[in-house]
Formats: sequence, C-alpha cells, structure tokens
Amino acid sequence: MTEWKQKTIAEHTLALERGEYSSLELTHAYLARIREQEPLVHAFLLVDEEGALRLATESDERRREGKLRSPLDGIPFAVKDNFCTAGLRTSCASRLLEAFVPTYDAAVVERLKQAGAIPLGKLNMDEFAMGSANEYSAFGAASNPCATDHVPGGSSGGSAAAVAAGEVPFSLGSDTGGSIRQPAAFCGVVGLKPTYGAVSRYGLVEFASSLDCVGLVTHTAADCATLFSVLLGRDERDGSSVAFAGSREDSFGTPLRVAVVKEFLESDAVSPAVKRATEDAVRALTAMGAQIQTVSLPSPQQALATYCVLSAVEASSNLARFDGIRYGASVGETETLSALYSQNRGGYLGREVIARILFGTCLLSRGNRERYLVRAEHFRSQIRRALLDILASCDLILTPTAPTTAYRKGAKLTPLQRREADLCAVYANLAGLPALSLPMGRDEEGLPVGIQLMGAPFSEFSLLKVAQCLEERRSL
Amino acid sequence: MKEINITEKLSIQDLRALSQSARIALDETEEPYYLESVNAMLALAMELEELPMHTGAYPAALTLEEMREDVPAECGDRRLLLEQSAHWEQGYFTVPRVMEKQI
Repeated sequence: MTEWKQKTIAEHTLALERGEYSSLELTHAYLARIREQEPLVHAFLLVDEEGALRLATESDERRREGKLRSPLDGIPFAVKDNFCTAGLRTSCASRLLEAFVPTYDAAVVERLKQAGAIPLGKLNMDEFAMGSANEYSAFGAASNPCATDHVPGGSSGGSAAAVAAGEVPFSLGSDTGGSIRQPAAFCGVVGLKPTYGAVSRYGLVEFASSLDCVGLVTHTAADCATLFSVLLGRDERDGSSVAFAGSREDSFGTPLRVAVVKEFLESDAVSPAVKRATEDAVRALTAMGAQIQTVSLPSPQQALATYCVLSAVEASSNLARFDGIRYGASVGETETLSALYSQNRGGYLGREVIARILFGTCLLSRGNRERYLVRAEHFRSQIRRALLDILASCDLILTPTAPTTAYRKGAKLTPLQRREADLCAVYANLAGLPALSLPMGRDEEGLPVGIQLMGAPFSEFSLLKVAQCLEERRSL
Repeated sequence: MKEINITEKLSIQDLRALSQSARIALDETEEPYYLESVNAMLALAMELEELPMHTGAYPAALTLEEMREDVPAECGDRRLLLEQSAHWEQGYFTVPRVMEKQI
C-alpha cells in the first residue's frame, strides 16, 4: 500500500468512496503534512486552512447526499501564485504584488472548485515566472524535497516540490519555456504542458502570451489524464483558448512510432545520467514494440535564443501594466507621474525581472526589430513546421526534459548555463505542442531524471497513455 | 521607441536609455549587474544573426479563431478594485498632477 502522502488522486478517490476517510480528514492530514514539511521545502507562499476545511466539509456533505461533482471532489490541491484567487493574495512571488488580492478566480481555479476539489493555498515560484530554479522568488527559494540543498527547478518549483513532498496530491503551475516540465523532472513527478489554447489562461498573470500555458503536476500519468479532462475546453474569456480537438482515447497506432532527437543524445550540454535515462526509455519503448527513428531538430541554441528573444519582448510589454497605480506596491509621493512609475517598478521588481524587461525593451527599440524579433518569429515558424513534419510520420518525439538533474542551491552558473535548463523544453512552447515530463530513474546522487514526450496538437491523452505504459514497465 | 543600436555590447549610457524607456529607475550601484545580465542575453540573441534576415511582416504566433461577442458585461465592484490601489480617493485612483506640469 502506498504511503498516504504519496497516494495518487485515483487512490484517494477510491478511499473516499469506500469511506476509509473523509475529505475533512484528508484535508487535515495534508495541512499537517504542510506544517511539517514547509520548514524544509518552502513550497507554499500562502496556506488557506480555514477555506480548505470549509470546502472539505461541504464535499463530505455532497458525498453523503450522493451529489458528487467529479472524481476530484474532496481532493486537496494547490496552485502557483500567478493564478488569481478571489480573496486570496496573488503575489507572483514579487514584492510589487505583495498585497494584491484579486477579486475573481482564474478559470482553472474556478473549474477545480466547481469539480469539488479543495484548494489549500498558493505555491512558490520564480518572480513573475521568470527563472529555472525558483531562486528568484522574492519570498525565499523553495527546495527540492528529494535533496533539500538542491533547487526544485522553476519557475513552477513550488508546484513540483509540493507534490513531491506529499503536501498535495496534485498542483497547477504555468509553462512558458519548460516551467512545469523542468521542475517536474527535477523533483521526480509528472508534469504536463498541454497544447497551446487547450486550457483557459483567464486569470493567469501573463508573462509571454504567445507561449504561456497552464501546466499540471501529479504523481502519475493516469492522475494527469483525470485532471486534464476536468480542465480542458474553450473559455470565451480567453480569446486564445480553443475547444479540445483531440481524442480522449489512445489514438496512436500500432506499432508506436517514436522519434528520438539526435542533437540531445550528442550534446555536451546534456549530462551522462540524463542521456542514460533517455536511452533507458528508448529500450523500454522498444521492448513494448515501438519503432524507433532518429531525427534532427533545428538548432537547439538558436531555438533557445528564439525563446529568449520572444519571451523578453512579450514580457516587456505585458509587465508594463505593473506600475503601482491601480494595484501593487507604491513608493508614495513623487514629483511627476513618470517618476512614480519608474520608482515603483525599480523599487519593487526583482533583478531578474528587471533584466528581462530591459532586454525586451532593447529588442523593441528602433533598428533591432528586423535584426532579432522578425528573425526569431520566422525561426519559430520553421521550428513548428519541422516538428509537425516529424510528427506526420511519428507518434511522438522523445527527448530529455532538461539537460541535467537538479543542481545545488547557490551553484555558480553562467547566465547561459541557467538558460540551458530550458534547452529541450522550449520547442514545445515555440510550436504550441503538448509535452510531458515523466520520471525515468535517478542519477548517481540519487536525484530524479525526467524524460519528455512531445506530440502533435491535442495528443495529450495518447501521450499520457504511453507515459502510463512506461510507468508500469518501470515498476515491474 | 528610441534607437539603441546594438553592436556587440551595450554601454552604461545604453542601459540608462533603456531604463528610461522601460520606466524602471535603476540604482547606480546595480547598473553593472544589469549591464552584464542584459549583455549575456544579447550574446545569446546574437545566435539568431546566423539566420537569414527577414524584413516586413512576420508570421503570427497565434490566430484567434473564435472571438467573444462584443456585448457589455457586468463591471467589477468599483470599491473592491480601488482598494487594490495604494492611493485612491473619492472613487478615483490618485497620481501626481500631470496637466499643470505640462502647461
């Protein structure tokens, strides 16, 4: 029997059904676990005990009356602190929004509440989702539960750490350039970035709108499928959201056709342990009868540069609204309005956020548009075409999730090394494709390694089915 | 938007011009950090210079197929919204005077 704190959504649903415990008891147990783990992990920025216990009581009443709303009814969860939550602070781990309390729930929070799930609180992250290690949180970095002197990854480090530490059975985060999948790989949990537009982003604080996606973190692929089926669908409040155009069944053919990316198996940036795990996955898939094909992707360094340019340009525009006038912290009296904007932003935004805004502003300045932005957009469309060409003859593309396993906190990394954490992940964001990270063994230090499965638009359920088969094989 | 012509690296003067455009006041002691940081990102962006130059329009990253109907929706609670601001009075956000300065 799985220890309760590592239990899956499916196991809790069954236990609740059998009356082994109530939602109130389960919520109390997770809240106690949070109190116990937080001094070590710091995955949470806010815990709403009172609200959670009230909703758990209501769920138990629904269960008694036979009016359950979904398989998630009565199951606790938490969300990254860049999702708006009515009446609960949404800080984006920034001093600028330290006192910001939204008046409405993000669409995904609303959907989960309607499904009867119990929100326990808000999760730590890199400020405004900019970072790959959770070290840029203004409220202190989260730690990796697998080794607390290591980073949990980012920017959704708190979302992955909370699930890995057994503080919640599932969580939500956001993924702009790997921000769900890389922390999921570092912490040894499952992370899904859906097809662009498959899940509403209404109420998610924007970073780079053409790349941002809601992300899911769970213990297993099956849980991820359950959660995704609750969240997907068109929401007219998000103009970029679309109706789910895929199958909810496994639509991949037999034999499964898997493309393995040559660049990542040959790259010096990818560690031996990560290469070994990817090769293990290839062996497991081959043993399952899959046909493996080696493919080549457009230059990873140029893909990373494209991501870096586009995300900074969009961030510099999106974050212009954070000026301390309508919400957020303000320095108070200044001579001019312009000085008020500048001092609020300079005084309360963190270093990484400021650096990226300055970089984005630089790229948008006269003379640089053709040189960088237009080139990046054209390369982005080439990447999408190249990936769709591969996926026309293969069911999925297998890569490492991140080039390395989790590194030590405070490690002296160059800015390029920090950026390279997203090397394998950015393709899916640039092309708008679904991709998931699945744990695949451990390195010599015992740290989890993740592999990434990427598929055609709306192939989430098929990808999760393959991931489930790999999980079953791993546990044999 | 001002012209900031990138050669290889930005100078402190370029950085100051950027901070003005971005409306972010930088502490002088922090300038070397930002200069290094932005220049590191620029070095990565220069990878793109190996790609062919394109001019004019670029492909849209996304197309919005279904737009919501353009009908009035219920407004947010004015007081709740105002309470998010550090400075407001009599139903309005307050900021330093603007018109008088310009005249």
